[in-house]
Parts: sequence; structure tokens; C-alpha cells
Amino acid sequence: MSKYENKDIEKLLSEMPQIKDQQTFDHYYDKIAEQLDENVPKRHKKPVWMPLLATAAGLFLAFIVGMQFFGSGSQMEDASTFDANMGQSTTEEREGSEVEKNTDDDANNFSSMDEAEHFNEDTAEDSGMESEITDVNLESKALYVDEDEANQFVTLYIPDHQLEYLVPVTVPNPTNQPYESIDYITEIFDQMDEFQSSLYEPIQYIGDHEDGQPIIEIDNDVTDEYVGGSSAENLLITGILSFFDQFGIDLVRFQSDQNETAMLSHFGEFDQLEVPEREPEIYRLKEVDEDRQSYLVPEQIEPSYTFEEALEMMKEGNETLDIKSTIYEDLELVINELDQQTVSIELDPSEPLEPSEDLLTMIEAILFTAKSYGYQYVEFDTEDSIDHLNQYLLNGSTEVPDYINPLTR
Amino acid sequence: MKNIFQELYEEYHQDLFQFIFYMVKDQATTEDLVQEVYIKVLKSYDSFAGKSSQKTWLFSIARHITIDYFRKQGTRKKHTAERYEFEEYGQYIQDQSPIPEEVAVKNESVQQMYRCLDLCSENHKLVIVLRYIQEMSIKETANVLGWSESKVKTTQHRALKHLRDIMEQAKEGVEDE
Repeated sequence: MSKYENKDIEKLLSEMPQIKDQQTFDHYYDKIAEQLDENVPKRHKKPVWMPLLATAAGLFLAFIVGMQFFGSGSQMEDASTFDANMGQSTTEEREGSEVEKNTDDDANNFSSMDEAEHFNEDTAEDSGMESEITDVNLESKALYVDEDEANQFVTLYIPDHQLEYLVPVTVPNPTNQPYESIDYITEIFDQMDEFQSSLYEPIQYIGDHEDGQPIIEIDNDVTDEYVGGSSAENLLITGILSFFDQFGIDLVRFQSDQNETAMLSHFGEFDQLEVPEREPEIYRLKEVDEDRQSYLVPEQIEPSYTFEEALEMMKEGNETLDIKSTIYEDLELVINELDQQTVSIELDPSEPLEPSEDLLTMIEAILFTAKSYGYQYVEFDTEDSIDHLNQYLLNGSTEVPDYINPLTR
Repeated sequence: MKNIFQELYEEYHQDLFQFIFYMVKDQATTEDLVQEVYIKVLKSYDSFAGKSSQKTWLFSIARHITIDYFRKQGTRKKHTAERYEFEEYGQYIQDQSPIPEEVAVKNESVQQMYRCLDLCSENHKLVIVLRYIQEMSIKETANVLGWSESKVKTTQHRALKHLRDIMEQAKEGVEDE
């Protein structure tokens, strides 16, 4: 039986026929012109009756609000009917604008992220809190999603450009098969020089073993070129195992591109690796520059450290790695475990807490650290300070986030 | 607008059509997607900064629209189980939709290759089509895909290996029957 060589495949590919389009220039031009005509004016041209309609709607709204103060039962009933209609109409408008957005955007992979951010805003609104301070637009490093959105996002573990640590970054799942998203790392982060995504170039998810474990292929030709040094190899392996850990995988299989045992020059030969149990982590801050996104960076610590001790560590940065502290140095923290799922944290600052990016980062870093200790909820308690910041209650219970560092660009 | 469209059409239309056709393998879908590419291109033509060539820009948009189509359809071929179920390749490959006339007149190996392209992952197929069917250079391919040249080389290497495997398996499947 004859075997194909690469050159045979290349020759066959070069013999693939030219496929010609049978349609004419006019056919396309007519259709395109029609579509462009349909789209453009509608978006830019405001109908002349719009101001009139807006005025009428405003007067009607004022009338309804007035009825709520002075009205009888039947008037209130009318008002609630109006509310119900408004709700329906708002939904329609939102759906309409969503359709337009989908039509207009470039193949935008991040629309789900926008929706998730809206979800966070909605959560804060729905909680009925009277906002005193949340007018500030602060960049969150946490993402909450509904259950049905859970597989729409995936966290990737990217080495910093100096290959010293891994940064978890959450992106909308770029494929239908969540495991395959590891193949997109170099593509997604290629232009971001704060990361060294090329470390992942030699690896590819190629499928699942019959026992269900994912199989990663390592191209040894490329590892010689790209993966240098044991620390780089360790980061690559840790990044792969951390990636699969989020799917509850406990073993990952590896093979070379020649279908043999995988090998990294410092790591040695290996065909499978267990995903280690996660140890507690502290979360501190990596800032690149003002124009770029900053990230929470986890660091595993010995399980013997208590949650309180972990939070104390977060008051100090790591100068060598240029990682900044996330908890205010002068903040007193009183920790009480209420049950296995809930921990209360009394925040006692030397001065009242003010809404700021730093405060948001601190709250989220604490939440992620609490999550690594297995807590589901954190009950913050701040005397003489603000009640909440973004969606986080600072005098009440807050659930730990689902995802970390959503990519914002 | 007509002048710009005419210029793009005359210069790139057949290449663009062929690229999308080999990706989606359906005439009507290809026409729709080509049309979508032109609309996107014309809408953003003023903002084209000229950092890449017009061809690279056009194909880059075509690639986004094609991938977006796959995602919306949810028809992306999984190369997971298939890779490990070689005994089914022969059957799978014969079960595909009819081949176009241009391919039907070619020899059996070319027809088999045409079908085997369906068993490639998106990235493999993109590189194969751009490199071997559109005859783009490594650099052009890298620009269209927004990848590094080394990634194009690596992916090409893997794609050829994968195609070799499935072509052999398809051949075995046919011989077994």
C-alpha cells in the first residue's frame, strides 16, 4: 500500500481546481447597493416626528408619575398597566438595537462580554440599593455570569512578557469546543506585548482520549525554538493544567507531533500529568501602563496560611516582579468564618473609604482570595464608610465572582 | 461607491469567492458571505489606513466573516473523536454533499482531497486554503490571519500531517469496501 508524503499532499492541493463565480458584477452591485441604502439612512436620519413623540412621551410619563402620588386605585392600576407595556416595549427596543449591533459590528467576539457587564449593572440596580457613590465608572477585574452563560467564557493563563508568572485572563469562548480555546491563545494575545503568548505556539489540543482526558500535542521542533529554560517550560505546563482545571479535568495527556511521548528539554519526557489540587492564592495587581488594562495576578501560597494571613500578605507587593499590593496597608481586617461557605470581613480603615479604582481592586482581590479558600460569600462590614461599590455590598453579603480579569479590548 | 466596488471586484472577486467557497463548500452561502464582505469593506473603506495591503485587508475581513458564519451555524467540524475513529473515515468521506463540477472532472485523489478538507480544523483549513489554493506567501497568510509567520509555518506543518493521515485513512476505507 502506498503512503502519502507531504510533497504528495502539496501536489494534490496545487491541483485543486479554480472555482469560478457564475454571478455577474451587476448582481452583486444591485444587492450591495440595496443593503447599503437600507442601512445608512435609517441610522443617521432622525424622523421629524421624533421630537414631538419624545415630548408627548415625557408629558405622559409625568402624568403617570403624578397619578402615583395623587391617584386612586384604578389610576394606579392604569399606571401598572403602563409599566408592563413599557417593560415590553423596552425589551423590544433592546432586541432591536441588539440586532443592529450584530449587523454593524465587525466579527466581534466580545459582544457576550458586553452583555455580561450589563448583567453586573443590572444586578446592582435590581438590588434596590440607593446609589450614593456608584456614578464613578470603575474598571472591574471580575465577571459574574448567569448559569446559562457559564460556557460562554473561558479563562486562559498567559505568561507575562518576562516569563515570570501567569496571568489569568477571561475571554468569550472563541470556539464551540471549550478545550480548543487553548489553541487561540497566541492569536488572541499576539498583539499584546505585555504577554508572551508565543510560549503556547508549540502546543495544540488535538482531541480527547477514550477515557475522556484531553490530549495536548507538543511540537518538539518548535519547543526547541520557543520554549527555553525550565521556568518557561514550567509556566507552559502550569498554564495548560490550570486551563483544564477550570473544566474539572484531573488528568491531561500529552504526546509529541510524531505521536510519541512528549518531551520538553528541561522538563523531560512525559505522557500524562495530573492537575494538582488548587492551593490557596493571594491576588495582587499587575499594572502595565495607564493606557492598558491592569490585571489581578494570583500567587499560590502554602495551605498552612490562614485566610487572615493571606490577606495580610496582600498588603505588600512584590518589587522583583513589579506586582503591587491590593489591600491598603493601614486597613485593619477582622475575619470571622460564619460557616463553610461564608466569611465575614470587618474593614476598619484609618480614614473613611472613598470610591476609587484602588478600592474596587481591593474588594475584588479579597473576593478572589476568599474563593481560593473555598468560600462562596463574603460579608463585608464597613462602619462609617460607603455602603457599596459597583455591585459589591460593603455592608452585606457578596458572592465571589465567576471569572477573573475579563479582557476589555 | 460604484467605482470603488468595481475596482475591488475586478481585482479580487474571483480570489475572494474561491477562498470563501473552499471554506464553506456551498455556492449560495459563498455568494451571501462575499456580499457581506463587500458591504463591510465599503462601509469601512474610508477608515482603511493602508497599514496592510488592500488584498490582505479584504481577505482578513473575509476570514472574520467566514469564521463568524461557522460560529453562528455551529457547524464547525470537531477534529476530536474523528481523529481517533479512523475506521469511519472512508464512510464519512463518501457521505459528503455533492462536489462541484470543477472538482468532479478531476481525478479521484483530488476529489478525495476536496472532501478531506472538511475534516480539518478551522485554522488548518484557513492555512491550507490561503497557502495552497490562494497561493499566498507565508507573510501574506500571516497578515490575513493576524498571526506570526512562525505560527503559520507550524500550523501548515500540522495541517499537512493531518491531511496526510486522513487521506491515507480514506484510501484504506475505500480499499476495504
